[in-house]
Amino acid sequence: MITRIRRIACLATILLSSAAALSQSLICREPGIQGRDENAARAHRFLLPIDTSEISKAEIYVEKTAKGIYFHSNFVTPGFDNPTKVLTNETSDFERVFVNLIFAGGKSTPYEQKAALKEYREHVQIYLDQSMFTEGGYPTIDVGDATHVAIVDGKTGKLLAGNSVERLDRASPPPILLSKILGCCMYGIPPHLAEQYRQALAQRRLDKSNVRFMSLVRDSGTEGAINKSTSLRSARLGEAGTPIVTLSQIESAFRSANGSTVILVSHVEGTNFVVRDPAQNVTSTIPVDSVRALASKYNVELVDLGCETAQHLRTGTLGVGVTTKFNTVDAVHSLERALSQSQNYADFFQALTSENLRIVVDHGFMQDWPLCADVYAKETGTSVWIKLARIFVSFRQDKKRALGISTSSIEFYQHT
Amino acid sequence: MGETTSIAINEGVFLLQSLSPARLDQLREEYPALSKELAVGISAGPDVEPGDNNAATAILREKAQIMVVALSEAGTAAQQALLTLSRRVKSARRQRLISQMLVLIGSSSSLATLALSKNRAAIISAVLTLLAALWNLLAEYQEKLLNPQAGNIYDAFQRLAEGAYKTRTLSTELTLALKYDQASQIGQLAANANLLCEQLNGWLVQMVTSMPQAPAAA
Repeated sequence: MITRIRRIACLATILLSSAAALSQSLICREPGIQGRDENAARAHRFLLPIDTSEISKAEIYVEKTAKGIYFHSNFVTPGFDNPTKVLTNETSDFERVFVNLIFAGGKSTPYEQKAALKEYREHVQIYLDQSMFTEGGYPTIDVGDATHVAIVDGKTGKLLAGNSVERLDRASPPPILLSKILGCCMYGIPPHLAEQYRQALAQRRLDKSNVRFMSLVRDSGTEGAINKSTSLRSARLGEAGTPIVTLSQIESAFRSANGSTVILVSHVEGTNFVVRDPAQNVTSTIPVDSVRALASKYNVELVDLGCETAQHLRTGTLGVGVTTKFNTVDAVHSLERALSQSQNYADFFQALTSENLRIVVDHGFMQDWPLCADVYAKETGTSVWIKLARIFVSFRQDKKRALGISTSSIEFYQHT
Repeated sequence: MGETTSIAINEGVFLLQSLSPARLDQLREEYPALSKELAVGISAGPDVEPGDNNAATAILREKAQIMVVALSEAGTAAQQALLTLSRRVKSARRQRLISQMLVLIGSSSSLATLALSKNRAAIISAVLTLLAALWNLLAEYQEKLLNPQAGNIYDAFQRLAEGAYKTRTLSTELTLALKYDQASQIGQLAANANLLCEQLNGWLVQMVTSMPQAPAAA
């Protein structure tokens, strides 16, 4: 027994030491880090030419490299001659890096660190290169509470998104960095593509006369709301009072709606549309992918609004509840409003939003993937936003061709 | 505990919204922690569970209490509808009796007019037969419901009686479970109550709203 424990301990030591060797940070207060001249040159395209030792005037350029994240500042730590540079693959916590960037050799008190972080949040200018975002548009760094964040293209020296970049704190870090696309509450990620999204969405017409409606929700209140809406009731697919619970029913509905736009209201758990009875027993589970495949087969443009309640969170990790109410009945009302006001998808999404209810669109649809938009609401008493629902639009193939969207530019995309 | 706290009360809430919106508003004030659940529809977003079991049990109890209120309102509505229907049944029976009596008198007097060859008697007998037919029509009208799919008043009477019985039974069981703190049963009974409310939403609400209000039982 003891021998076995010793062996495991040895193995763990070897593994941990290997991991330690792989993860490393380099804090440089010399003229430059060896082999990082190009990174430094890109940083100088954005940073102020005059170096500073005032924390409030510090500017930091950040980009991704093969060996980790490269930070280049204009801040000169008192007692040194050159601005600080950091190369690390140990952490993506910007505030932690910032403290190391300002203070040398751990010679700082907790009070000094606190004061420096206050300056970081209020005054320090951050330039994030576009390489700091994943394919899906999520940042690979946690900028914490920084308020001055700009997105840049280090290679061309272009400022892609100025200080219009906003932050959306989620239940777990890092926060999303986003920019407003339209109206009060429609945003895009990554932030620097927001303007392109606005143009692309405005080009996508929504032909109201060709819209059909389908519900996969089993709830009397939702049925009541649909029946009260003249436009949704008349556009409804399937027989009234007969719930759609199987894929074959959906196929039959799509067949009858060939060439139309179908708006689907559903309840989503994981990768499935799930129907539960009032006692919460699952009565139907239909894979989302199968429904989308059927939509494609019958040339149906599918707009699917899925309310999510699958996550189970403890109050310890959140507040006491979501400030903004959003449920299946609200979804029906919002859809009715959006349909009556919209000429194109930009109008449609804008009409779906409201104060404290943000819709976040990512860039997948620009690359021939379905349009994915997440609906977030703010948590009571906190700055955290909770994902309540998501909207997917699977555009028709003929429309994609008409818009000249290239199918050769598909990149890996993961909805997180 | 997570499974029990996440019981749904959406059908109970919709039943309250349809039958007694003022009572639902009152409940929203009484249970602010359940504001999401007390909205009509299925709420989106994560099911937030309290950190400790006592708080979770408290939420479960609150949900069960809301279901008791929903069942009680449904029971009251069913009882009132039963009263109205019972009056209509009585009235229909009375009209049928009158019409049958008129038919009887009319057919007898027809025979008499044939025997006596009196024109005036023939007219009176024809009028009586006409009145009989009219009364019959009235009786049929009383026996029908506004919604033809809901059947006649006798079917409706039976359904209402069953509904009233089920709501009363389930409400009593749930009240007892709450009183004696039988946590294991509360969740199941509340779920059953939500299922029953779905059925009641299907026909009771329609029946009650399409019927003239009966005066409260003495």
